[in-house]
Amino acid sequence: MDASLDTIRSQIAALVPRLRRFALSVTGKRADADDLVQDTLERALRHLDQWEPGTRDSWMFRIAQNLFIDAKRAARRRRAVFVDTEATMVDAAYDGERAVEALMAWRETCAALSTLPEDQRSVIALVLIDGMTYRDAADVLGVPIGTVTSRLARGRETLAGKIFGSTAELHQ
Amino acid sequence: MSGERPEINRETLDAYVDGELAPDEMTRVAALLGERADFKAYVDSQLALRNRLAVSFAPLMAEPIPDRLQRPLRATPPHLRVTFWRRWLGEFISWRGGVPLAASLVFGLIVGVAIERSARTELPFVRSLQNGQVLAQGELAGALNQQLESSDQYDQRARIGISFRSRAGLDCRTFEWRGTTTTANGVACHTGGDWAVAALATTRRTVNDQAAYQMAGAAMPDAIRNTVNELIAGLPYDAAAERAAREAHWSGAKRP
Repeated sequence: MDASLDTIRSQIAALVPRLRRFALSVTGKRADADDLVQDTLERALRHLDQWEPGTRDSWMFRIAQNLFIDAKRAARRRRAVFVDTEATMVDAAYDGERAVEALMAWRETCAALSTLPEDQRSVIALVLIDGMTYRDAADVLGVPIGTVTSRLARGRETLAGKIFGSTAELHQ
Repeated sequence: MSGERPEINRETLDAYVDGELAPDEMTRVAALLGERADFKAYVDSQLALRNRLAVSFAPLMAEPIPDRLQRPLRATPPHLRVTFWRRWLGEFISWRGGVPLAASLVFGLIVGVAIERSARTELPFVRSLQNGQVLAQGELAGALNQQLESSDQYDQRARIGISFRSRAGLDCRTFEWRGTTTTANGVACHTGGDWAVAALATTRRTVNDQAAYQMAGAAMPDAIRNTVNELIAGLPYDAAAERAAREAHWSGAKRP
């Protein structure tokens, strides 16, 4: 049975915070992230005929990912750079000492994410930050699960190295 | 059981942290963490990484959604192919000078293809012709022919809103159809003895609006209102003009 328009809208609305987090993870900039989410919503609403119940999360994330890739291609031509630490986000949510800690964590995380290649950043955003399964992430990115796990492994190593100074080694 | 167990490597531990292992493998790795300090250190570092990422983005998740991201979700129902009918109406209006109207009218049914796919069967008040024209039928056609805006329409499934003369010289009326689960708003113009539907917007009703009666026209979707604005010549009919149009069988410009 088709979902009602109100139901679909509320389902999409419920995804917005996660989409913003994904968008911020991959773009690193508040304004770019919200532009990306806005474009994602508009494109999704124009193409609701492609909506398949049960796949809406990955469908919306796929739209966001594709728009991000398109935007990066365009930006690359302008030699745009991924750098922006935005204190405003943290300031708005926390006060005092907690705000300072959160701000520092955010800055470190943002700086570390910015060193990752885009393909690794997207996988990290989907699996480690959003908590998607490997299968869903593979679906969003249109790659095999093996590609997800290998990108994830490389991204993890880089991030842990940047944030904690080293990666724990296995003896074998 | 003595089956070969796959070697535990970094990828296995990643999958453990990500909850991607089968339940028996999860148990096996969890047990090994007590024996292998290096496994434990690696898993702890990955849990710390996940935690750091969660903490970093927590303020964003706690933020209210900016208005500009809520706006697309409040806009004109997306299942209205607005660009389609706007473009089409533009052509229609530009034709009206030179082409015999009755012959050139091709009205489109503008119904959401996606979410309202099944609603087509719930639109018993219209029928589609092979040429794409959509005509009102049954109760709706009856209401368009007979019902006046000023009449008591409270219990009617088909309610009439405004009536007006189109720039092409046709009598047109807006309507609302309240089905069991679907409400449709539309505008139809009388041509060739039928009411041709120029635009139709369907929405599923929630339980909450079942009780709320809204004046016909008051809840007219933007797309229908815009269609009216595109079509209308002058002002909507007043009660006397509406009655006169009915008495003239909605003959439009041909009315004496």
